[in-house]
Amino acid sequence: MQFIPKKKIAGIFLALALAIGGCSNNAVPTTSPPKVEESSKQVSTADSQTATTKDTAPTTVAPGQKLRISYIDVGQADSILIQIPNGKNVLIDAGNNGDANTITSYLKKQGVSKLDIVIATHPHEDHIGSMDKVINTFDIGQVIMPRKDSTTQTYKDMITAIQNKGLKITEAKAGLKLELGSEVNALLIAPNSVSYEDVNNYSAVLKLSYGTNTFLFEGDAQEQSENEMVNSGFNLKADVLKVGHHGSHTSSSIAFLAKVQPKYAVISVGQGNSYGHPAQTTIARLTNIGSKVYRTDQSGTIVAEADGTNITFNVIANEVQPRAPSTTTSTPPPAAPSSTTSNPAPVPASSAALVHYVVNTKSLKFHLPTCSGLPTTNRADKDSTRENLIKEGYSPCGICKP
Amino acid sequence: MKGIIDRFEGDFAVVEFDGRQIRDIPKSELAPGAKEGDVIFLANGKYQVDLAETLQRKTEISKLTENMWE
Ligand SMILES: [Zn+2]
Ligand SMILES: [Zn+2]
Repeated sequence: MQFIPKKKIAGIFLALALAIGGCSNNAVPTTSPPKVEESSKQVSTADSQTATTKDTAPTTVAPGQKLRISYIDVGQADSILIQIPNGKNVLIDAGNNGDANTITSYLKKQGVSKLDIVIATHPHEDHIGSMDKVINTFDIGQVIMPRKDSTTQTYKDMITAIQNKGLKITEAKAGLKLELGSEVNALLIAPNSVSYEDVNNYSAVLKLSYGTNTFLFEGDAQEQSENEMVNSGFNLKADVLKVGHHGSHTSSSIAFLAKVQPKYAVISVGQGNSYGHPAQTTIARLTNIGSKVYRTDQSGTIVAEADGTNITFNVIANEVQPRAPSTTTSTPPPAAPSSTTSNPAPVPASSAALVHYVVNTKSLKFHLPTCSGLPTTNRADKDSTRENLIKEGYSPCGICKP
Repeated sequence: MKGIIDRFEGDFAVVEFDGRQIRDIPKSELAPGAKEGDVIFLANGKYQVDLAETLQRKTEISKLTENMWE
């Protein structure tokens, strides 16, 4: 049963052709090797290897039956619906406070009346914003969340909704197996510690197998949690990765992506968000390891269907290209057709030593295109020289120090 | 008007105000040391931390969740 019409597949082939044809600027950005937090407790390798073979092994699925995953477009937030052919449904996160209607009406349209498992990855408003309304609207089987309180009214309302339904909370931790029937293997592979400085690292991370198809959902897990997963012995390899923390530079470490090797990456992110998500460095890392990148800010709700062998997406594959790390005078690569921010920069008469900069026309700061703090409003792209920009009244950003 | 810091994103604190309204506040407008979970209020052009109310909310919520874990 098809609720969302399949769009053109032509885009996928185009993107494939481009990927195979090869863009040559595949230099992996160099960073120092990941540091593992010594203080963090880790799952013993023996345990997790058992877990790996037992719990994320391929499953046997009936032919023609499809697992359906909807990365719901909730702007700068997360909400993901997993529908298993056996009729079971899982919801990971519930968007912002303002997304209740979007989520509940989407779920109803998919015929969902019961959520067998609800996962609140971590207690930030962009993940639990509408969880109270979701819990009040649907039958709920089990609630899973990390043991980390928040002081917000949003959190209090979610807890109250859970309480009013007489539900208990299952603590999210690595090694927790989700009971969803034999068609899927579903295992939490994070959090691996009990206390983190950054709340994002409490994120429940789910690894899901259906047949030989594999999915990883990262929530907002950042480098520290990613390093723990890398060292945990869990099998991280996944066909589809829901990229951590909306594509922020705080996640998607090189070591982690090297283990996951996603064929597809999905970034849940809002158009023109104030935080500079996703980071150009993240997009570059993903495309450099050969991932096809889908973004909710460009495609809206993204639906993946897995038949146990193949995975199809019902969005036009947007070939997201990294901008060259343009600290040199190399010619900028052609802008991807899907890129929303690239305006053809005016080319000055002398193009001798021009560098591509991103400027904030309001704060009058200029940045390297790889900067973590790029403006999302009042942004303009300029091919210029440092001297010229300063002459024009711009000053260098303190983060990327161009 | 009081708010609660939900999280930090880049240069901003994402703050929940009355009625669960979410607003971005530049970090530069926060008193130094303001943390996630802190109740804040505007005074003299900066958001100051209300330590007493922060503690009160923390206690209240941990009490609320106390018996909810399986
Ligand atoms: Zn978060
Ligand atoms: Zn988030």
